Amino acid sequence: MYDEFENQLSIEFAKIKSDDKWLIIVDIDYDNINLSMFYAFGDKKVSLVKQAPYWADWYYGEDLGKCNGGGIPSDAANEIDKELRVDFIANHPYHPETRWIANSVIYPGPAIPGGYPFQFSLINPTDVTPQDNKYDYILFYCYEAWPNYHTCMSSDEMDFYYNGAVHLISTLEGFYPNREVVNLKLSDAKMQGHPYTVILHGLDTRFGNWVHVLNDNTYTL
Amino acid sequence: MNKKLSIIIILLAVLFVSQSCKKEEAVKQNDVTKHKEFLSTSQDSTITLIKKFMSQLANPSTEDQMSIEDVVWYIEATLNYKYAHIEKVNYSDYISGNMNKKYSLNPDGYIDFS
Repeated sequence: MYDEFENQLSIEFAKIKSDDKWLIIVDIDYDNINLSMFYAFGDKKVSLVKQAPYWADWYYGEDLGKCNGGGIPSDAANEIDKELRVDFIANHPYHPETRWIANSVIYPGPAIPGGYPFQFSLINPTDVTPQDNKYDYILFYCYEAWPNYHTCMSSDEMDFYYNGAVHLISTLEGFYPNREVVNLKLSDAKMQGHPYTVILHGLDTRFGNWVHVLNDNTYTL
Repeated sequence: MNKKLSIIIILLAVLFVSQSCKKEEAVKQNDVTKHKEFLSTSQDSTITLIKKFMSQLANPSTEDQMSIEDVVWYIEATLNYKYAHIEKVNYSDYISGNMNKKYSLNPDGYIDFS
């Protein structure tokens, strides 16, 4: 059984055509019928530079870049995601001979505005006009049938939704007092509707225990 | 006399520099050793459990059985232990996926893990 998961991981890893790739995390879970494995790989190193609170205006997603040109292939979701990684994950001491791994990983489920299981908690409690596409939720959400539908996020919006994500993660941390954030991903989605479209950001956060191990490179995928 | 003094001074200087280098090397080595000692003691039983599981995988027995909770913990911990880097968040591409596998419990409520 272990071998099947390891082999699958190895097959998926080999599919990434890059020499600059690595496994970030594995999360195994189960229900009444299935064991399931979530895995995430990182590819192509970049330097992470703090942006908040001095954001640019970015298109919400799809790697569309900055609203005034440039920045491709990135977008608002990716830029906020990078900032969150710096804040919540890149905070453990680095030593060239060691690495960090996670165990006892818990996944609370996807945080999507209007979606299960966070459908109520993601509503912005300070929003004076609901359903106007202006800060209705603490994560970005724009519905074509409502007024002010827009794909470009202003620097103010970038800051608001970044802080919304920070608030959400901090709230979730409170539910898992013996665990820390071990993995997160803020991503964009577009649901082409008939006749209305929704564009939004969703956040996946995993909590677990950080374990410091020697990096002896004995094993490779 | 002055020549002799100069040679002695140079020799002393060389000796001093070489001792400093050795000391620096020793301090560096000591740092690494200390770090390794810290790691081996602070990882407590987690790594021991993972390594025990890995040796069980290498020498399987038909009597191996585990609760579903243990199977989940051991597979996850071992894969992460062998390959993962959660601290490396400086990626530009994030590739994720899922895999499912059906399992069944034996009459005692355990998974036969052979």
